[in-house]
Amino acid sequence: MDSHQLELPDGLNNMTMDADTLISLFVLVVCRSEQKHLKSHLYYLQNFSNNSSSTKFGILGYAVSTLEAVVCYFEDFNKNTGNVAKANTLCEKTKNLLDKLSCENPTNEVEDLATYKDILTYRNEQGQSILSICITNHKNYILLDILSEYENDFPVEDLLEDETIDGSTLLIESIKAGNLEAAKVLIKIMLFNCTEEELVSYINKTDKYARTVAHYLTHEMDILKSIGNYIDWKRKNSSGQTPLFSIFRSYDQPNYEEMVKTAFDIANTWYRKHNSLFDYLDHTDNKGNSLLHVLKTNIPILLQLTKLDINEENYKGLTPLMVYVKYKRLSNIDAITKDRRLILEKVQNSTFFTCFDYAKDHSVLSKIGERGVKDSLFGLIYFHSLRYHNLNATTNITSVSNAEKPFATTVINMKTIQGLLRSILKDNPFTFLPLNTYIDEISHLNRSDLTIIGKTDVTSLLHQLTNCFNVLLFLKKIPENLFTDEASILYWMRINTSKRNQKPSGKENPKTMEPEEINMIQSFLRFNFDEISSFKASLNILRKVLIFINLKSDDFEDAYKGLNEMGRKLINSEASSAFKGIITNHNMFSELSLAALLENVRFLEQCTIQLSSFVQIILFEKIPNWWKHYGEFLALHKSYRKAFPNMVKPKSASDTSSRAPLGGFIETKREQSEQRLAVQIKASSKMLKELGSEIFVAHERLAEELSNYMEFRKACLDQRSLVAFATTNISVLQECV
Amino acid sequence: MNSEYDYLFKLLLIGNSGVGKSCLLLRFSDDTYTNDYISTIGVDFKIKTVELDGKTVKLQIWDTAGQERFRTITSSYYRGSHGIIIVYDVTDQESFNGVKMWLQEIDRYATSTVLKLLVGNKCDLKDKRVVEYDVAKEFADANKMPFLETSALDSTNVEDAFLTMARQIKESMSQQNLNETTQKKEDKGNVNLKGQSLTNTGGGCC
Repeated sequence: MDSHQLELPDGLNNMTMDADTLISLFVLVVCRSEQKHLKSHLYYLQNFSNNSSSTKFGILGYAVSTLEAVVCYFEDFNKNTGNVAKANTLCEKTKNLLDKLSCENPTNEVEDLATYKDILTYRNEQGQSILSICITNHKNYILLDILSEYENDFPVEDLLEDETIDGSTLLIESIKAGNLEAAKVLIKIMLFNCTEEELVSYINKTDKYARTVAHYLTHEMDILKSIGNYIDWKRKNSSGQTPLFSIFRSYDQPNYEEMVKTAFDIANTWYRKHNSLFDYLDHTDNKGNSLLHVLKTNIPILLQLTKLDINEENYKGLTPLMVYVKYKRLSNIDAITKDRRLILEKVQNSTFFTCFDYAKDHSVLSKIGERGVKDSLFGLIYFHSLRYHNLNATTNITSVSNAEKPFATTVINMKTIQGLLRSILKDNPFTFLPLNTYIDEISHLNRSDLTIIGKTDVTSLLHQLTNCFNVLLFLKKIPENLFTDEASILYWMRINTSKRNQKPSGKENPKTMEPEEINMIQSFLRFNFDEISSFKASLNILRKVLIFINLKSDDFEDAYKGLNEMGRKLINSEASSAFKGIITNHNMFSELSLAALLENVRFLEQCTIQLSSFVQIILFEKIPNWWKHYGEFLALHKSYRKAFPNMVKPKSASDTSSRAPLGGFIETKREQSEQRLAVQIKASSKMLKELGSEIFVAHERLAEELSNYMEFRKACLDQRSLVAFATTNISVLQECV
Repeated sequence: MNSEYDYLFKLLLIGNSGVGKSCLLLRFSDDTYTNDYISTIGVDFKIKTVELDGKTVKLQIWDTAGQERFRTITSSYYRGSHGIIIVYDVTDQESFNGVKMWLQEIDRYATSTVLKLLVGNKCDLKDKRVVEYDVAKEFADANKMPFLETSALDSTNVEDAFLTMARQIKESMSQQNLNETTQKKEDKGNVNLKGQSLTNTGGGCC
């Protein structure tokens, strides 16, 4: 095969280097290999092939020629004995200097620095120069001596180009080594001698990790202030972190908050200097963590930013709130839970956890519970964090408190809640709240509900309990401080039981109802029933409309994305940008507000159905039954009067004596018939009284419940649901604009 | 023998370190340019085939070390070279002054028939020029070699430089072949069409 035709593959061609570098490298490799008889090997290679062209042309020829050059270099070097002596001297001198620069050597001066002048260009295997070694070993006096006495040997250009193999500049080395004094010296030199362009270029040089000097700043406030304006705050390292991100993540520094504030201000100034606003999105790392995720304290400086998605998820699906809860950043939790944009119960996709699942501390649960209370139906109470202790289900309850703190969070056994619901139900048998439903659901709770599928049911139950007790507190059916602790609840239940036992039963005093009274009750209930039925139908429609809107919003968003992509591909970016205006409509019904409104509508609908069923029983069962019995009663009376018109007249003695045998028999039959009718009349009258009493009591209770219901409905729908929905949407629209 | 080329020429690039030899080679062979000299890659050895007057000429272009400490030991590269391009930097007087030394190296190690070309690179840096065209031209004429100013940055005369050298070599080879053919007609020998030099009076091993 003709070696002339041999060419390196394309990939390998890109790995070659220029001739100067190649020769230097080859000298190093051959020297380190300690190969002997080099000339013999070279001669053998040169004469291996009978074809002399092999060593004159082609890749092989170039390689052999390069080896020959190296061998000649060594031979030429060795011929001059002075070279060997000089090399030995330099080697010894280098060792001496390095020993003085060693971090084990306490000295920080080199008295005979001039004797080392010829080796100041030394570099070690890591690419560190003498200056770099001085910096990393904190030999600052030696550094200053070299820089001041040999300024010509170390011009600014060389300082700017001085890098280790890793690409670390002298300034990076000084920061990494914690040698702030050296860093300040370097910065002073740079500021005095360099143009702004050179400074920017130098300060934003990156090492092999794509880190600039700014990425290594953790607590060096003075350095930050000196070079902050020259930092490219958008430059990302290999992990996708900007310098600001790195500073925000340097948690263990005593001046962390000050560094964060200063760095943020400087970055802000830098953005303005470049004719733009601070862009929050520039600082998200490769794992989707935003500045809000990593900032340890003082998040208000971020919450004010535009383009901020307070509920943004990182690659694990964690929102900033989840991160704060997980790592117990109380001040951050306090700040973010006051932000209206927060979605408290956002679910992590991979685990279906919420922030409550990450909370291990009572103080954290209290903080996030407070936000739950404020977001609840009437802002009075919030049920969260269903957990199991020794097979007993417990829940955390945060409620408004009259104590020293505005809110109180306690752990209550779910059995106690269930008992409380039963107690309330006994006192309020006609309550519009579907308490029986909740009682049953609590009975069916078990540990397996904490699986992914079960979580949905548990969450739903807690939401319903939240709504239920919000209403009870709102209507003052239970005292405000009831949930201070479990003992308070149990005590209140005992008091209620005692009161209930002392209260006389309505059955003991039956009340006779007149038809006019029944008619009045019937009219009242019918009116309310019609009104409730109409409202129930409206709620049904509203719920369906909301579901429809929710689905259509999703469709709209998908359509928007599709059209945008289609426009970009088929036409041009200008066409696709025409669709951007649609995004306003797309966000008109935000998922957040729709979900909240839908939940409230469902709850309201359940209550309406519950109340309607009670009214329906009285109106369409008990009252018709009363009328039926009343009709029977009237019929019996009519029969009696017809059969016995003289019942009220005294009996004549003559009539009795004159018809002794036959009259006695007839009289007996007559009396028996009268007795039967009398008994029937009496029974019918009793039934009427019982039914009447029942209707009367039910009417009174229902009247009260209807009043409560109307109050609740108005407050719920008008003040909480619709107002909240409108407010949220206005906020969303404002953000879009 | 079926060959993909008619001539194979070995060209050498010599000159002081930093004058742009690598950039010239890279521009000619790959039509690319890099401003960062330190990180120059892929330029030490290149092959490019060109067409000259209906003949296929395969050029092997060797880069050489220009550093002073390696200057006297690169003689191995001269062996068998057909043409040598001496490069200097028009913005660096010292590199032009060094051309004399490089010519001495050529005389010492290369064959007497080697062809030479003087190239003044970086002519795009007009503001920094220190070597005037006329001065260099006069020097080149005195040493009987063609002269071109080039810019690897903007490709000025880069291709011309290499093609000029190739054409010169080809013409020289043609002339040489003609002479050999005349002799061999008397001896009835074969004609050597590979382009290798048959005389090798120089290039000793140090």
